[in-house]
Parts: sequence; C-alpha cells; structure tokens
Amino acid sequence: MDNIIEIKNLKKYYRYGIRGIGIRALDGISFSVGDGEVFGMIGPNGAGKSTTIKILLGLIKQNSGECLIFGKPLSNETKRNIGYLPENPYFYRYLTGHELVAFYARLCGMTYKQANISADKALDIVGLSDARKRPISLYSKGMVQRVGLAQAIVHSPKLVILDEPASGLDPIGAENMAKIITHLKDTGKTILLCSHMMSEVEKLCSRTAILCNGKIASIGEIDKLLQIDGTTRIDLESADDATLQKITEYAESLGVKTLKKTSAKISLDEFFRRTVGGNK
Amino acid sequence: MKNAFLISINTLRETLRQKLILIVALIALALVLSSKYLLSLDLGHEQLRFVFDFGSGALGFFGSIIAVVATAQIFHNEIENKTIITLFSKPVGSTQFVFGKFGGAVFALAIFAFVVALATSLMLAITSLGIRNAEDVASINYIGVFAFAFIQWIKLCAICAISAFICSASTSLLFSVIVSFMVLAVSMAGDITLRLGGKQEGFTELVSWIFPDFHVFNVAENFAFAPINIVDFFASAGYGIIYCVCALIASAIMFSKREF
Repeated sequence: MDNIIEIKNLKKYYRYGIRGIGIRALDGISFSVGDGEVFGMIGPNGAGKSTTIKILLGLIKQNSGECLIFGKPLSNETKRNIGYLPENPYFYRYLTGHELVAFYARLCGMTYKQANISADKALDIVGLSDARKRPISLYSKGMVQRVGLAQAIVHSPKLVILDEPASGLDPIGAENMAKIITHLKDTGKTILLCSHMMSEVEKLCSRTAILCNGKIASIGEIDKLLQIDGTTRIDLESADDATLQKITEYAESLGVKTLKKTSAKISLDEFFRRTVGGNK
Repeated sequence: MKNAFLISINTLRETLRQKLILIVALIALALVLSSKYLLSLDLGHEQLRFVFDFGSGALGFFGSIIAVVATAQIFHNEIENKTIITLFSKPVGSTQFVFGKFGGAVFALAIFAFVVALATSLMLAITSLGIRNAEDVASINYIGVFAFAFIQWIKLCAICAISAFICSASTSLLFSVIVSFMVLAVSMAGDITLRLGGKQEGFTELVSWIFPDFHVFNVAENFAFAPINIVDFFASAGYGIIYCVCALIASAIMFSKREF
C-alpha cells in the first residue's frame, strides 16, 4: 500500500510572552496513512490533533520533522488533491450553499460549468440538495457541518481530512455524517479522521493513533488494539438461565474459564437513535 | 491570478453587503447631490468650482473612510471568522489572498468613485443651466471629472494597500483601523505642508517614500476645468500603482509568515 501521508518526527512549539516560553504541542510524532485507508486520530483536548492537521495543510509550520503528502512536501499541486473540513466550520454567511461549494470548487481549478455540476453532486451526497439555494446564515449547525463536508469533497480529492466532523451534532446527525464518511471510504478516498468521540473512530476507522501531550501514546489496527488477549466473546440469543448454566458448565469441562456473563447491550447512541428515529 | 480574481469577486460581494459602508457611500452621494442647494448666490464659474469641490471632497473624505474600514474589515473578518483556514487549505497562496482581498475592496471603491463622479457631473450640468456666462459653462470638462475620479480612486487604492499591509501584521481590527487612520493623517499632513510651500527633504522625504504621497494626486484637481494633462495623469496613476504593488507584496510576505 502506498503511503498518502507520511509524518516523521514532527515537532511543534508555540512560543508566547517576552521571554518566548514554549508550549510543546507536538513532540516528535511519526505515522503514515496508506492509500484508501480511514485513519483515526484521537486524543484529549490539547493533545496535538488539530496542530498535526494544520501542519499537514501548511497553515502552520513545524519546528522540525518532515511531513509528506503523496510522497511530496505540500504544494498547491498537492492541495488540489486534499479536501479539508475544519473543526466548527464557519463559512461566508451571505453565500448560498451552492454558491459556497461552487466557489471552493473553482479555487481548486474547476471551470465555472464543472464547478456548478460538481457542487450540485457534492450537495446531493451530503443531503443538502433541497437547501442549495438557501443562504448559509439560515443553515442549522448540522447543515453547516454538511456543507463543510460538501466543500471538502467537491473537487474529488484523493485525501479527505476531517477535523471533528461530528462535533456539535446530535446522534442522528452524527450517524448521517458517519454514513457519508462510509460512502467516501467506499469510493476509495483516503480519510484522516480527527476526533475525540471514540465511538465514531471505532466505527469508521481501520487504524488509529492515540495522541496524548503531543506524543503518540498508541498506534495500530483498532481491532488489535481493543482485543483482550486470550478471550473470545459469544453473543447468544434466546438462551435462558438453565441453558446458560449448561453452556458454562460445558465450557468449564473443556478447561475454558468464564470471565464475564452479562446480557448483550446496545450503545446509548444507538438507543437514542432508535428512540428518536421511531418518534419522527 | 484566477484564484485572486475569484477571491476579489467574493470579497466585492461581502463589501457591498456591509451596511456601514453603504451608509457612508449614501451620505457622500447625498452630499454631492445637495451641493447646488447649499449655495444660493450666483457666483458664475466659482459656483461650478464649489459644486466640483463638494464632489471631490466627498470622494476624498468618505472614500478614505470606506478604504480604511472596508479593507480592515475584510481582512480581519476572514481571520476572526476562521474562513481563512478553509481558504488556505485550497490551492491559494498568501499573495493570491492579499491581492484578491485588495481587489474586492478596490472594486467596491471603483463603483463608489464612479457613482460620485457621475453625481458630480450631473450637478455640474444642472448648475451650469443657471449660469449665463457661456465661457464659464464651456470650461467644464466632464471627461476630466471622470479622469479626476480615476486618479482619486488610485489614491484610495494606495490607502487600501497600506491598510492591507497593516492588517497583515496586526491581530485586531481596532488596531488596524486606528493605525491606518494615523497613516492617513501623516499623508494628509505631508500634503498640506507641501501645499503651504514646505519642501520634501531628509526625514520628510523618507516619510513620503513610506507613506502614500497624496501631493502627487493633487494635480488631477485641475482636470475638471482644463484639458487633461496626460503626463500628470500617467505620472500620478503610475506612482499610485507602483505604491500599491510594493505595499501588497510586503503584505503578502507578512501574511506568508503568519500562522492560523
């Protein structure tokens, strides 16, 4: 697999005050993201997630280390193949959804006609076709987030960087966002997803890096990271107490130890979606 | 330059929707249109000069306010609202950004200058109807009025450019507006000094290199009642354009060093 993003020993300090006291935002992080992969970056506030993304996009400069996209340092050419949804996006409120997305498409080198067609297509993907002629000032938070995603994918970039895409969204909005991200994954896009919502990353990403205090605390495939060595979970349906007792006794007769026995649960997110979705 | 043009068009749309700027522009227009009625005496040629001075004053005074406020607002809105982050994530460099934003502001000022020139010409035409001396009426050069407005627009562009440079180094809108008005005051003081017979030498000459030299643009005031002096026209326009390009390049360099 070719690496779309390659970060090597990235360091970034923010200086403030007359004496230039530095805050260490990134302390030598290294990781790579392969072609077509959905890579998650999680961590508490101030861990360095947004700083990493800003360095990737050239919005801030690193103090040391190397950052390659498509095997090259960042340039306008590489930027044409990157789509970016910032955290809490804010757009020109006087533009309509269609005007905004078409404006960004044209900045990426599209002609007027191409930009209009692509803007319609992108707005359709994010489910904003009906609101395309409405000014952004009249959009809800979820709609702004979705129009943000539309501008990130309007030029069909190979790499999509999403900074807290579900931030401020209700569980239904977050689920819609997840569906769109899954659709992007299916179309072969490489996605760098930055979030502090663990469930979102767990559901969407194949690999993840956990950042803490500017360092990578852990990195790898999610399934492997979450796996408890030597254990297996079996979800059973229609098993009454007597049956469960028999299964347990049989398992123990084979030398298998039962560690935990609880009824299978859905997440609160899922429960909320089912409850609210059913009432709509 | 395509991206700079796209940003300019978008910025023009933003500028024209700023209520404060529209109000200032409307006040200027109202002032020009009321000029005839503010002077009831028939002073012949002087009356025409009075009407023209109203137009030129409105263009210079209100145009300067719009130039400073609009430029500072369009740069700082982009930074404070963080729309600059999305913009810079696209293939847009700091030079395209600065030239684009500047372009939007000066497009809006071009519309303002054109409307004021049109209103001034209209008022000159209306005023000339009541003047009996044919020579006085014939002395009006309507094309010269527009040539004057063009040179004044170039002067406003220079104000926008220096304001853009200040915005590239400043982190607050208020600071940018105050410092821009201070620069404006220095340039106006320099112009007044030269009008009163002062000379540019040593320190004052250095100041005239750094701050826009308004004295260069004064020659255009004669265009409304005399044939256009081509040399003066191109000399003042050329100075203004070169000043703008230098200030904008400096601004782009400053912006390229900023982090967002």
